[in-house]
Amino acid sequence: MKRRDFHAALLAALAAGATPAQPAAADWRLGYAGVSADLPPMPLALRGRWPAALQGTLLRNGTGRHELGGLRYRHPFDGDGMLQRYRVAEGRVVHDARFVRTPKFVADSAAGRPVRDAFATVVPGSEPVRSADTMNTANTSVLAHGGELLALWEGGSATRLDPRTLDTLGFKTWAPALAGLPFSAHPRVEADGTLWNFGIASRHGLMVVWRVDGAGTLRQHTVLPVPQVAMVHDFAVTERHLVFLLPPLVWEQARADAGASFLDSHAWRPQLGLRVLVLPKDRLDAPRWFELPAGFVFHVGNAWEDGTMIRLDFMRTPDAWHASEGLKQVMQGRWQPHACATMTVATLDLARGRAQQEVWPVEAEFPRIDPRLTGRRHRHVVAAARIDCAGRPGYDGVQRLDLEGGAVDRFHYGAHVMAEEHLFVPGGERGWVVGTALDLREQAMKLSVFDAGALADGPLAQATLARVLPLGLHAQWLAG
Amino acid sequence: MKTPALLAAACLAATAHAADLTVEVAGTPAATVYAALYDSADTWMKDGRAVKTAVLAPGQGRTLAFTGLAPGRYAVTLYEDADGDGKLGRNLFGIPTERWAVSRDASGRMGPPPFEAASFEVPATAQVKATLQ
Repeated sequence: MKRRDFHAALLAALAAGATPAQPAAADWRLGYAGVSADLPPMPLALRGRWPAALQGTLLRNGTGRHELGGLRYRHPFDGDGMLQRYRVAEGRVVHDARFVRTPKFVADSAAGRPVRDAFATVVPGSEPVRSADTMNTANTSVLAHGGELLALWEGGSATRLDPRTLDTLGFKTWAPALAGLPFSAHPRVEADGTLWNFGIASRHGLMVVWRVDGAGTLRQHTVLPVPQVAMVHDFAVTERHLVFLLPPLVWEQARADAGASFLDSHAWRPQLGLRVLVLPKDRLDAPRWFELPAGFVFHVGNAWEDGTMIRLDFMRTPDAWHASEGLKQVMQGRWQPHACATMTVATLDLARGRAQQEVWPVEAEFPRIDPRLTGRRHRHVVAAARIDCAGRPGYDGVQRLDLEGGAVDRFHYGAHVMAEEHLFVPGGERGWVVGTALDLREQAMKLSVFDAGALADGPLAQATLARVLPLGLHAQWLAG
Repeated sequence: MKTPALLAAACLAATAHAADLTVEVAGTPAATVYAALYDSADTWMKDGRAVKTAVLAPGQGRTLAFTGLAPGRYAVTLYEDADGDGKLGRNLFGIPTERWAVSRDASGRMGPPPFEAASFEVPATAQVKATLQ
């Protein structure tokens, strides 16, 4: 099906409010249709008993606009950042959504078509890319820290947002000399409010490390060269170290010089293995390297010190096929089976300089932990689950994995429901798990809250939003 | 040492071939714009290697001029000194943090445009444009 035909058919079906006459497996394309404008407030219909102590906002970032002026992006990570907000107060839930007004969003919107390249799309006749922020889409995650609200990308700056209106205030500059430097979408905030983050500057073969105090002041930064720099999306902190997993998807300047997109300028080199870079927090200039069997990693759960060991967990695929090829097919409405990410637990022996891993037979992604345990020993990892949806991409359930013993407590929404990232929110007796999902049969979004210790019992309460939203990426729960 | 007559003749000869160049500064400058003119790829954008410099103060229009140029190939680079420190701000990676422009709005891919792309012949070219971005 040609790009335009697919898009036209999908839009027609959505406009008519009809379910495309296809089996559930094919309806999944609704999650990747995208929208083109901010979404005004709309109330959700709430069923069940929403915990009275859980008042606040689920704020999720993600790619909201996938096409403009007849050009559809090649990858789900290309599109413009859009914040989706579910506000829960006094038994009512209201949703709205706002695009981040990045310079790229503004320029593309004014032209009526993309005029700047995206992560995996080289736009014909595009403006020259002077710096990473030229193509910043601010689309990956969101962070509330130090009194500020930031939309996060990974190739360039974070973007400041007004917490009340979600207006875009401009790129975040931590210090003049650091303007435009990459700030990843996965900062780690410790119990005392200290924020650690990193950024990969692929063209320069460099990694930046950032340390910000709880008040939002940059306290330390460092830049270190990384040989054969890779695409690194996430990392972990422990009490004394920073831990980075470098999959063998490495930057090749020759591909970039030949005009390849940012994504396609990376090549899979499994002979490098999955490199692990460990930086002592007090010696950021003294890297230690370990090696695990080759694999691709997007997300890390958590890591902690255990004597002279570091233990960590992450979601690993045997190769980068989904990232570099499969997701492009998804954007074209195609899906073929290929090994998906599974929970993996590793140990780094700092005394002996060796690493080993154990791959669990549990398909999982979007790991989230109790934020109070960042860098400390944790027991549970909440993650999206693939239970019975082999015929389509994405997830259809939510699970909690127990690192002590390997038990899995999970809830299956059903193959017709595309589950998004679910997060753990401390409170009550055992905490709650909160998350959203796209119900393909109802063509509606579902916001659910679970007792974190009893996912299998199903949601304590569930709110329904009668609109189809683009599948998002990472969210935060903002209390109050 | 040349005699005064020869010197005068040399000056007259140079003046006869000298040309003026106007640079149109687009992009609505809001602060002082510093411009530098270069005449070779070897010296292009190198500190202290410009053959001429010029300044456009705020409120003084949108063009600046280089006069008395010998025939040849030239390129111009300019920047808007938003923080008023007299130099082009750069981040730790050397990427400019203030708006800049080059003649002919030549582009480089994630880096400075090459001299060849930004250059033009004098006196065949009397005016070039550079857009601050």
